[in-house]
This record gives sequence, C-alpha cells and structure tokens, in this order.
Amino acid sequence: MMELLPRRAPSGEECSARLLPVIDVRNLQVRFPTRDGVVTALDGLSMQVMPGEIVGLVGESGCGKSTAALSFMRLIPQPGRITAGEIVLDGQDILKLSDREMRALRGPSVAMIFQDALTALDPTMPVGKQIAEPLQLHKGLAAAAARARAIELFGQVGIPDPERRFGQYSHQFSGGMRQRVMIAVALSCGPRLLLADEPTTALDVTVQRQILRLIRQLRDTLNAGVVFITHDVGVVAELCTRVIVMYAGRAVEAGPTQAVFTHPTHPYTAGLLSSTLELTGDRSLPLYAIPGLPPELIDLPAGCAFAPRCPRADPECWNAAPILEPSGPQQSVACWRWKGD
Amino acid sequence: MIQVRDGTALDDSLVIRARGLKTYYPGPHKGAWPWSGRLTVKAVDDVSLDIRRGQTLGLVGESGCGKTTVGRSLLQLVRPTAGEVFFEGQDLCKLKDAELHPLRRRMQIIFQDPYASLDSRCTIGFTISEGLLIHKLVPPAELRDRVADLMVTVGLNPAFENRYPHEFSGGQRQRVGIARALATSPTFIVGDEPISALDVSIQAQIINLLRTLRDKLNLTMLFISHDLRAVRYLSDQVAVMYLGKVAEMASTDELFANPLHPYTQALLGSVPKPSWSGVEIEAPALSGDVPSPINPPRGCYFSTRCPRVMPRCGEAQPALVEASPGHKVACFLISAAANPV
Ligand SMILES: Nc1ncnc2c1ncn2[C@@H]1O[C@H](COP(=O)(O)OP(=O)(O)O)[C@@H](O)[C@H]1O
Ligand SMILES: Nc1ncnc2c1ncn2[C@@H]1O[C@H](COP(=O)(O)OP(=O)(O)O)[C@@H](O)[C@H]1O
Ligand code: SF4
Ligand SMILES: [Mg+2]
Ligand SMILES: [Mg+2]
Repeated sequence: MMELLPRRAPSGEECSARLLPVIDVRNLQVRFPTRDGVVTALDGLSMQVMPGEIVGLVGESGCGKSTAALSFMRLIPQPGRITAGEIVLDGQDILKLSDREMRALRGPSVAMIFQDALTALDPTMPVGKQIAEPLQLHKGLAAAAARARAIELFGQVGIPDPERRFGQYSHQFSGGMRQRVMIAVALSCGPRLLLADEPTTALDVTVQRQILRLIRQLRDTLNAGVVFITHDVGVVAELCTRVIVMYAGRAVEAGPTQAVFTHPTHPYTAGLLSSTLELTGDRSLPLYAIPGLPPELIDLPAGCAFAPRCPRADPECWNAAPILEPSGPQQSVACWRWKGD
Repeated sequence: MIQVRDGTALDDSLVIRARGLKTYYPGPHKGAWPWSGRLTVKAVDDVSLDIRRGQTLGLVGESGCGKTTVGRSLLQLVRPTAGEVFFEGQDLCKLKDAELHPLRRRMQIIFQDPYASLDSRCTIGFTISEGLLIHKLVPPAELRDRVADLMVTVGLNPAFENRYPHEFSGGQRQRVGIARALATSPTFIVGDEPISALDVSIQAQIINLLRTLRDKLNLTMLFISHDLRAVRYLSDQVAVMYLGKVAEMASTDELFANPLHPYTQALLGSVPKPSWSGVEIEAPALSGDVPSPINPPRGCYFSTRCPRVMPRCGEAQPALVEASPGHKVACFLISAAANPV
C-alpha cells in the first residue's frame, strides 16, 4: 500500500501483464457543495488494485464508499466534483480525458454493479438488449453475434434458460437473478476493473453466497481487479484478498484481509469487528457497540475524525489528523496511538 | 385457565398462542379479464406458535416466506383467513374491529424501514405522542413529560422533540420508532426486521437497546429477521419459516447447536464465514430461488431445493413433530409423520 509505483503512465499491455495496478488512485478528494456547506466526501484517498485482486471497501454508511466507486467511473453527480488527486485507470489518467474518451472506457476498462439492480437496469428494454447493445458499440459485433455473446454471458452468470430470458424485462426477474443480469451487463465488455457497490446487501444470505461465488469465479477467469463495497465485515472476510477500512472519507486502515481482521491496528477497525454479529460465541453479553455516530462531513474538526468515538483517544488526537503509516509488513493505519501506550 | 379448541389448557404465562394460522392474499387473475377468478397467495399456511411472557420468539427465513404476514396476522393488522390467535387469553380473530381497538395499545409493531415508517411532516415528539392521544392514556398536561421520558428511555435527547425525521440518522429514527411503540405501554411487540436497514455498529446499539427494554419492561416479543446472526442475540426461541410454514422450531441454543432441518442447515451454511481469501468460496448451500406461494411444490415445500431430497418428499408433506422435547421439525429425515391431505 505504502510503496508508490513508478510515476509514468503505463501501457494497457503492461497492466495486463500483472505488473501494474488496474487502478491507481492518489490523494483523491471529492466535494459536494450543499445548502448546509461543502461536504468533503473523500479526503485524500489513495489505493491500488492489482489484476486478479479483490479489494474490499468497508465502513459505515456515509463514509464515502460509493463516492469512491463513482469517481473511478467519473460519474460523480453534479454539483459534486473531484477537487484534487489522480486516478490512473488501466494506464490512463482519467481526470485528463474528454467526456467522449471517458465514455469509451466505461465497459471495456471499468464497469460497475449496484445494490439496487431494479433501478440500475432499464425497465423499458429487454435485458438481453441491454447487454447486446454495448457489445455492438464497444466491440463492434454484428447484431447476431452480440445476441449470441449475450446469451453466453447469461449462461456464465448462472441464469437458467438464457435464450428465453434474453427477451424478458427486468421486472420479470427475482432479486438474485436481476443481480446476475447486472453482473452480465457489467462483464459484457470484459472490464479490467469491476466495481461492485453493495451488490448483495439487499439479498438473502442463500443468494448472497451464490453471487459471492460468482464474483470470485469471474475474477479467476477474467483476471480482472475487483473493488467490492460492503458494510458487512463477514462478506469481506470471505471474499476479499485485501481490505481498506474507511471512516469519514478517509482510509483509516488497509492491508491483507487476514492480517487486518486478526490484528486490527485502528481502534475503528477493532470496534467494527467486535460489534459484528456472530453465529457462535457468548450471546448473553451486551454486544460491543461503537458509541455515537459518524461525523457530518462538513467542516470536520482538525484532529482525528474518529476521536469523539474512540476508546483510546488522548488530547493529542484532537489536534491533527493522523496519516497512513505502516503498521505491519503490508498493513497501514492512520492513528496516532496504534502502538498503544 | 381457559379451554381452547384442541382441548389443552391455556397457560396464563402465554401471551401469544396461535393455532392453525392461515393468511391468504388474493393473487393475480387466473385469466386475462378482470372478472376471471384470482389465484391465492398462501402467505401463511398453518402456523402454530406460542410466546411466553417476557420471552422473544425469533422468526427467520428468506424474503417472501411469510414472516411479515405472521407478525401482522398476530396483531390483526391483516385478518387471518383461518385459525386462532390468543392474546392474553382472548381469541383476537373472533373480535370485531371496534372490540380490537382497546387491545391495540397493548400490541405494537416496530417496522424495518426507519425512513418510510415515520411521517416526514410530523415532529418526532408528535409521532411518539400519537398513540398516547388516541388511547387517551395521559392527561394533556403530562403529555410532554411522558414523551420526554420515552425519549430518554430509548436514548434520544428530549430536547429534539420538535425536530423532524429527516434531521435524524437511521439508527436514531429507529429509536423514534421504538419510542412510539413503547408509548402505550404494550405487553407484546412485533419487531419486523427492525435492524435490517442499519449499519453494523448501529445494529449492535439497537439490539442492546431492545434487550435492555425487554428485560426492564418484561416485554414479550416476536423478532422478525432474515439474519440468523441477529436472531441469535435476541431470541429465546427460534422458528424457521419456509413458504408459509414452520420448518423447524426450538430454543435458540438448541437450534444453533443442533439444526435438524436441511433448510435450517442451509441457512446457517450460507452466513459468510472467514475463508481468508484465495481459497474457493464454499459451494452455495442452496441453488435457485424460493418457489412461489401461489403454486407451491407438491409434497414437502422444500423438496425442489433440498440437497437431501428423497422420493417420498415429492409426494407427502412432512408434519411438524417433536424430535426432542421442545425441538420441532417438519422433515422426513427426522420423522415419517405426514400432514393429512
Ligand atoms: N449527490 C450528493 N450530494 C451531496 N452530498 C452527497 C452526495 N452523494 C454523497 N454525498 C455525501 O457524501 C458522503 C459520502 O457518501 P457515500 O459515498 O454515498 O457514502 P457510502 O457509500 O459510504 O454510504 C456522505 O456524507 C453523503 O451525504
Ligand atoms: N398485500 C399482499 N397481497 C398479495 N400478496 C402479498 C401481500 N403481502 C405479501 N404478499 C405475498 O405473500 C408472501 C409472504 O410475504 P411476506 O409476509 O411479506 O414475507 P416476508 O416478510 O417473509 O418477506 C410473499 O409471496 C408476498 O409476495
Ligand atoms: S488517532 Fe486517536 S482518536 Fe483517532 S483512532 Fe487513533 S487513538 Fe483513536
Ligand atoms: Mg453507498
Ligand atoms: Mg418482511
């Protein structure tokens, strides 16, 4: 995480050779002007995703997870704006691209799946067409070939009876099947980077398991990088190779999932892990609950944003915001007191 | 003691006793015309359950299995098609709406969605006091004090009584929903997925709150959730539902230690567990979706998805029988007893 990679723009080929990250984000800042003031939704986020890697973004609602994913697609809604930083996607600095150039990258370079498949899919168009069209557009396939490829993709994501399903509308699908359709749409152009924004939060655990397995298999076959957003640490533990814990628009801890979850170095990570509901263990005790609420992202005070809720905060924590520093072989943390007293 | 239909005596400590509860909804039309007959959605199909004073029954199952309908049927918010619901000894199904009204203050519900369930035009003080006014429970002069007490009980600052729901976070709105339910001093509360829309750390706060309130006020609860992990922390007994029927019911410790029904086992197996990545994600315990309650499968309703299905399962319907004292299961692997056709 902390080691910075060479600062020149790498070519697409180098990226696919597993040498370079599919996305390299540096010091990203995103702001939304609102009636009540300017919301700083992301403040200095840096992260990289290597091909074949599944990186979990975890944190409470409002911490900036969706904003991060949307900015990687350059789809931050107006009047929101990327106010600082760099996003190098598959070798290209996307903040320097024209709108047309950026549109061409959505699909082949980066694709996104959302929590709510029903609103993400077009209800007025048969689902098959929603896959076939981008294939014609981006890959230059003829109509018949695009249709055949779409049906093949339906089969790959586990939609039974794909030929018949091709002509149906999104409301004719169950929640789990709709999510598969959206995954098929996202995969249609074989993206280098797949962004998944809470795709299983609204699903039953039985269906969630099917979707997680599907994403893992797709990672294996496409060797794409995946950013998986969730607030369920159980899902991160099961799926992700690396995890980035976010709080108030910043990464507060990052590293290999196993290392971070077995030896959390940030008090917020530790709090999240202890407040997680479990299937085993003592159930009579009151659960550990992080006290209070996450802060509003308008005019954050100078110190560590977690200090008001932190069991380990001392006066120093209120003075300046800690920055990420190594806390283990591949682990990093933004906390003044992670070493203890 | 009161005698009820099946000849057993009604125990005073039973706050809720449901027998043979069926709630059917009119489904889609059979034909293309408005006058063609309608299909029947058997949302709840022969459910019997007891809840003792001060105890919590957890109700779990995939979405669409009838959990909400059970909760609403117990409260007579939807009138059951058949069966009996005894609340503190009175059969609610026999009462007219006007006769139910005075009982309503003693039975309350907390909804899932803390956003949709509060009227955005009313201050939270008004929302909390509404039940007190409707049931004329406190003199107007004491109303504000009572509301302030309730707000303190659920951990809200009483100074916020004049604020509107949009000024609160999800967890705080759920506290308002709990205060509203508690206002009329109920003995029985249905919590319909009250924590499902909340963040992990806030879920822990609300579970702790519900547990404290239950113990302090000796509340009897039906706790509905699709999350087995949440149910485990709050319930004394757990009922697992599938397609409108109870598949398995036992004390919480027994059910989690010794699940007997293949469906319960599949649900437990689907909860994300750390696999520390790299390794293959465990095969989904269940494939496909829940069948439609309009046209449930022949025989055991679970037979179309059951990993251990036997020839008999497609023909007869297993009866819910006691496998060990207090542990009931409806599965031919456990008992050959079948429901009469
Ligand atoms: N379109 C918008 N306008 C104003 N503020 C926004 C907008 N989108 C997001 N925000 C704010 O940015 C912050 C991060 O939001 P988001 O990225 O959606 O968080 P998450 O996905 O982690 O829940 C929040 O404080 C949110 O209120
Ligand atoms: N008002 C209604 N009219 C028709 N069908 C309904 C109605 N409410 C629920 N259903 C159907 O009844 C079944 C059970 O629904 P519900 O009790 O909401 O399940 P759960 O709470 O377990 O998700 C579902 O198939 C649902 O579609
Ligand atoms: S910097 Fe201080 S307040 Fe922030 S997490 Fe670390 S100990 Fe807590
Ligand atoms: Mg989000
Ligand atoms: Mg429900």
